Amino acid sequence: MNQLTSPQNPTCAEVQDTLEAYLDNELDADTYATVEAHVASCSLCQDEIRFVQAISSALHELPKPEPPPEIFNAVETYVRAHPNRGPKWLNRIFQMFTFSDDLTSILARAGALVCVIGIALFGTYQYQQHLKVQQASRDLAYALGKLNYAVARTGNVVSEKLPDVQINEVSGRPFVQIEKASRSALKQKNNISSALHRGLDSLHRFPQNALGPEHQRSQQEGETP
Amino acid sequence: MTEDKFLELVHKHKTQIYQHTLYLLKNREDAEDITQETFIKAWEHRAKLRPKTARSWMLKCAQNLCFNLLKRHKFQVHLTERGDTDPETELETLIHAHADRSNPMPDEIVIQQELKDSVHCAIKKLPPDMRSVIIMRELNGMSFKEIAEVLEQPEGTVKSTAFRARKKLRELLRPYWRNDE
Repeated sequence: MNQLTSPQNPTCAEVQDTLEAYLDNELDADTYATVEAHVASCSLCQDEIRFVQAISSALHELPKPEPPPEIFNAVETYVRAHPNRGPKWLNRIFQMFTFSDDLTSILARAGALVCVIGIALFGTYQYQQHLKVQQASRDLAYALGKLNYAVARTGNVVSEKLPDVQINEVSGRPFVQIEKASRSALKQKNNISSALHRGLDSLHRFPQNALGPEHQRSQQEGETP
Repeated sequence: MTEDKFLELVHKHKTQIYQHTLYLLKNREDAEDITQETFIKAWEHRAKLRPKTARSWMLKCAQNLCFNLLKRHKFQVHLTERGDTDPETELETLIHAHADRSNPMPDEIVIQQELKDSVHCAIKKLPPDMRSVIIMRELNGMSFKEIAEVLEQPEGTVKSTAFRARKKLRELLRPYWRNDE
């Protein structure tokens, strides 16, 4: 704390400036030794030390009045009149994680918190997987419907457009009809292709664990040459 | 924090908070008001309160409330401080109530007794920051580390304030100390 300006030969004033720190053992080793040596040979500083000690003793013996009981009663009345708000279980959970006194209980509560968070995350993941399966099933059903429609439409086009075509007719009309029918068939072919792609895409989006074991086995067999 | 746990804390710390405010404000009524206000504020901030740090929190709160009150009533406080020897002053009355003057005493004991009686007057003459450190250190026996937490100051600063305060007390109490020279 206090450093002496002339450590070799300090004056009484300098030493007396450090007496509080000296008595509290707050001086560095060198300063302490210097002050101790000076005090041992100086009656004035010895008397000053007794003075400082007498003040300390008087300070320790100051009266320590007790507060009147009305203070505690008033505080208790206020606290009882303004209880914790919110559901009790929420307060208990909050207290569980804030009102900890020892390390063991903190660790136990932290472990419990990690478990709760883990269970919540796992549940959320499972729910998301379930949603994905549902969506993929809907997409697949839609793609199959579209495929059925496109196949049926192709059959209709062929039967509707070509039955009355007479190849030996001189006019160019049959050729125009055939061309129209082939264009319609081509369009339906594109529809079939798009429906197949859509169906395959939704099948790919199925999570692995959502498919049955038979499907998984057949998929593995299909992958092996 | 439940009501019962909070009231346990109040019961545990009420004496120290009251003594701290009483020595800072030098007025019993103000000290009672501030002590009560401190606990009510603590209840309102119970979400932040931890049993281990409750004492520091409450002391800090009480100290801030005391300083605010001292600032507000600076004029009245100055008047009170000027009348240090007024026997009607609350603290002085307490001191005199504790002093037993009925038996004749040797010189040394008389000097010690006079010194004890005068210490509270000297404390009142200290600036509030020094007074606060002296009360926490000497009256409540708190460590410098604990005081530093309450005052939110470095430990070295608190030590320095404590030593300066005790040096100041030495100056103020010198007339009551025997002088053999």
